[in-house]
Amino acid sequence: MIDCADVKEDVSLWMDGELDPSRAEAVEKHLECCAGCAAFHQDLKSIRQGVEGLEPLDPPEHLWTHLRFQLEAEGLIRSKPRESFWAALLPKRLPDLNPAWSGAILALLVGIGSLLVYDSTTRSPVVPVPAVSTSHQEAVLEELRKAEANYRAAIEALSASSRKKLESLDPVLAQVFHDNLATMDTTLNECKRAVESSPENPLAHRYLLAAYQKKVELMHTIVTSDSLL
Amino acid sequence: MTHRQTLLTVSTALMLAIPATSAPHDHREEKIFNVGDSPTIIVVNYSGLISVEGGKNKVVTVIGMRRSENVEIDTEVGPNRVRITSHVMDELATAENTVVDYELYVPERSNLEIRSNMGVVTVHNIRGQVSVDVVEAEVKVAGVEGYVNASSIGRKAVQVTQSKGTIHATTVTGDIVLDQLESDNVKVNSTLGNITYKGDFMGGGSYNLSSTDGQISVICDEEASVEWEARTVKGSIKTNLPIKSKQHRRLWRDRHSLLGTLNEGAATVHLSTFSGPIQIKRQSSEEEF
Repeated sequence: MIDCADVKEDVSLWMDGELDPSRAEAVEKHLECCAGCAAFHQDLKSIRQGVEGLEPLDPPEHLWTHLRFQLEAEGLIRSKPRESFWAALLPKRLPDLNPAWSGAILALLVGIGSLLVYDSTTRSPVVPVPAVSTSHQEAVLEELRKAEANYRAAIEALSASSRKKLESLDPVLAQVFHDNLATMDTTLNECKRAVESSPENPLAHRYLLAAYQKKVELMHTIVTSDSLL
Repeated sequence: MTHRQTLLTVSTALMLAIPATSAPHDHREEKIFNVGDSPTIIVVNYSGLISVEGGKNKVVTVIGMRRSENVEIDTEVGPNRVRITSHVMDELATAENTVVDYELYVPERSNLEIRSNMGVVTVHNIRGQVSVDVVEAEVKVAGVEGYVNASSIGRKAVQVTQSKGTIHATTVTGDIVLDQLESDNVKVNSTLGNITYKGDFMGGGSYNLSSTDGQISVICDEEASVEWEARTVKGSIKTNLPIKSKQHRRLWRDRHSLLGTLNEGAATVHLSTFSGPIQIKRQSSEEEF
């Protein structure tokens, strides 16, 4: 007998056909009689279909950045502008999705993208040559600007739906969300000022991106607040 | 036992509708469900108190007090799973007309999932996982041994005390209070809220506290064995503990980072703020920073 927690762990493997037959049968039986797990399975299926529908992405920029830094440091290549990872990242089909999905996917892409970029660009280059440090810092700021642009796009995509949603919510609840959005904006502005005054401070960069991410998450919570209850 | 049989068994165990006497619109409902050793209990409420207490019995007792006729209590029961939902009939009703107060008595090995917009959520003596997701509600979790994940948007505080499992908490405006934990994995963050950690740290444990604009206060014994890493963009860092400073690469300016060891440095504590102050204080210290 397996329970919901087991099924939630196994359902992905089951969908991939990677469970042994007896376990697969147990999962199937459980899904037939458990509405919660069946809904979870449906969600997973929808997410997979959504992901499959996205356009293929280039390898993450941080791999190129690392490689480029090392090759530059060794004098094997000279830096050459590359097409933006971020520009290619947001699929053109997003406007066709409903607002909740758009928000979720945008937030997911932006969040993961920013983490990837920061894991790579804020780390010291493998070969610490002074000339590389300068270009490294420029690369960090450039990635920060791109990440900001994409967060702003996510916020723009969610703003109309969240405004509409707030009008239909209980006034007490709506006020909480309004207050928090205002808080996020204040925090965002503070972080922006900190980055402007100390562009070399990686912690300021991280807080700026975290503030954007929290605002996107909050707006997404507002848009999907029906699913809270 | 088939699902239908389970439902039948549960429905025979159902005790219903004892009229309330406290207020004209109050309606008390009590329901009892037989469950296994570690059931999953889901509570979804719009507004009101939710109190969950773990115990030895393999039954779930739900006492719901509806404060309005505009709201119903729906229950769904599956194999080792109980879902309790407050169903608001007029969605345009104000918050005070959607209040349901719940008292739940559940097996201590239960896994809990609680969602509520407004009110207070308290959880006590649970050995399974606890997930609490609220908008504007106070959250108090105590005596939990499993994984705790608490998330709050509003101004009310999230408080976790005397718990052992991994603890994750996120707030936007509300404070986070962590008191007398025995957890070796704590990760909390807030945008505006203050974060307070009182108590010892487990050897080998990892503790990560981060607030954008709030204050972080860690109050621990001088005997604590901790590797400290505190960083802030615009705030300050102060301590009255004998932390031995380490040679470290300057992140920003000296006063904005502190890397050091207290005793053997068995636990790792990361503290980070954007503009809030960070204080690392000796327990029972009256000293003001």
